[in-house]
Amino acid sequence: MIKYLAIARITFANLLQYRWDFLISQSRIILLLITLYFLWTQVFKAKATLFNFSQAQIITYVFLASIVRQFVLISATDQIAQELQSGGKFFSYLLRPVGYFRFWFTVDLVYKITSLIFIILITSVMLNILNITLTWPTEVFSTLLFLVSIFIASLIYFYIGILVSTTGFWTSQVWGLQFLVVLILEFCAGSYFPIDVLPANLQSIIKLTPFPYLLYYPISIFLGKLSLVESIKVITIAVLWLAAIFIITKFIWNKGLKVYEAWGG
Amino acid sequence: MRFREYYIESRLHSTFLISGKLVRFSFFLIFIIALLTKTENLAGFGLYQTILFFMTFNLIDITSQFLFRGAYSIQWNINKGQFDLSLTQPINVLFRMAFDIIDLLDLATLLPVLAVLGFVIARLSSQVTFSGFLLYLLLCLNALLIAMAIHIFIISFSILTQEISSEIWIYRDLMNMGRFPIDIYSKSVQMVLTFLLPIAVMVTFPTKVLLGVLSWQWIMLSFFIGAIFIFLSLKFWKFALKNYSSVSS
Repeated sequence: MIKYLAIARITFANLLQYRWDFLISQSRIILLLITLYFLWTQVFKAKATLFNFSQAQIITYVFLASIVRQFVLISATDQIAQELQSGGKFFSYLLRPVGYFRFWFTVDLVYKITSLIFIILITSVMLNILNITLTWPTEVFSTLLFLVSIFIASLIYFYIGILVSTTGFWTSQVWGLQFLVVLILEFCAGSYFPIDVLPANLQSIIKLTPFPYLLYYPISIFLGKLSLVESIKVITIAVLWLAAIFIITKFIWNKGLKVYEAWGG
Repeated sequence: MRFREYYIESRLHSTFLISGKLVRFSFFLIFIIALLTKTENLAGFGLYQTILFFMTFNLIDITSQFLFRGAYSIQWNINKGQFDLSLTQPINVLFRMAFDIIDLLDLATLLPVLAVLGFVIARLSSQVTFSGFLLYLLLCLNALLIAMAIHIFIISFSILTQEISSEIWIYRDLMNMGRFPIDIYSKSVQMVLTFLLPIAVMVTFPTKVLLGVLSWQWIMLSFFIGAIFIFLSLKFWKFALKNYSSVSS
């Protein structure tokens, strides 16, 4: 445990090494929030409800999606692919007294918690400036199940990140795949808008993937759009997705280890 | 000018990158169509008009990325001494740094944008005049000039600070605000996006002139803002060069 705390401490120090860059990277979400806030405000000038959302619900969705996104969709696992390709760096981990996945989970957790703190600060300031009141859950179970779903979503994203990075065992051209996966994932997870906005057939396809379980369903639970039974059903499916992705990741990782060649120093 | 050799050699990588850009483009297009199908108008603009704003945004954004990708590697050029080497060579250093890399992948993503743009303009043909189309092209060129000025500011700032990543991404995020007509924003945000960070001049104004809803005063002001930005960026470039001290080994 102590060694993972040390990893967390070093990761945090590294994160703050270039403070200006870090601050800017955390603040980039502001412009997206401004765009989405004014866009939806404009849209709701003519309509009271749209896509089964009220204005207050959609604004809450936009802000909450930004907060949850900075926790769930923040990961350092993309660096694994680089390490697999950079002469012998990955090999050095095999000699250290730490679990490789546990090491990256610790790094991920530091990234997530740091980003979460910043995004909460940023959104709080924005909510005050724009004089926005968010819609809060009326039922206690909504808050609890929301937190549970966020935790599972983080684990799903962690293993998806590793799964994509495992391609680094076979090819150096990983960055393009990571770029594509992140873009598909962000839209299908509902980062920019709830997937209810999309055409029904596209929604049906997206709901067959694990992506809506990362943001869309957790926020739907928070907004009270799902009943207790529906929320539990969603969380159960999310756990099944987590198990499936974990098994696939482990299987491909083990296959990759067999072909890994440590070249370089 | 160098092409991005790496991307051309790595076909799988290039395919994924182009696919990613097309996915982003498609999702936003579907979003706008779905939204406007329900609401019928956005800040007074109909479906095809709103798509026209989005397509003009893509046209300017992708073309400027295609042309000025060199600005993204300025930090690397400075740190590795490439910038110092360029200073000693008989070529305009600013030209070398700004246009050093041409990103062909952006050109590939420009093709579907041009196709949809042509389709939308054809659908809006009753509102589009020949003079309006000519002014649209001129204002798009003006937008590229402003984009070049902003990239010169960023390159110059990097020369002074030896950093790049933050500034270029702020510009990209600001540019993304132009996906929709600036009429959706509050008056104060509109003012900032017109005079201080002229995203509106770059994206919204060309579209409005094509739709015939931009007055000649705003058209003249757009060219004036473009000229001012180029002038100031070149001044800042010279200032940065004078204060540059090599950091590479």
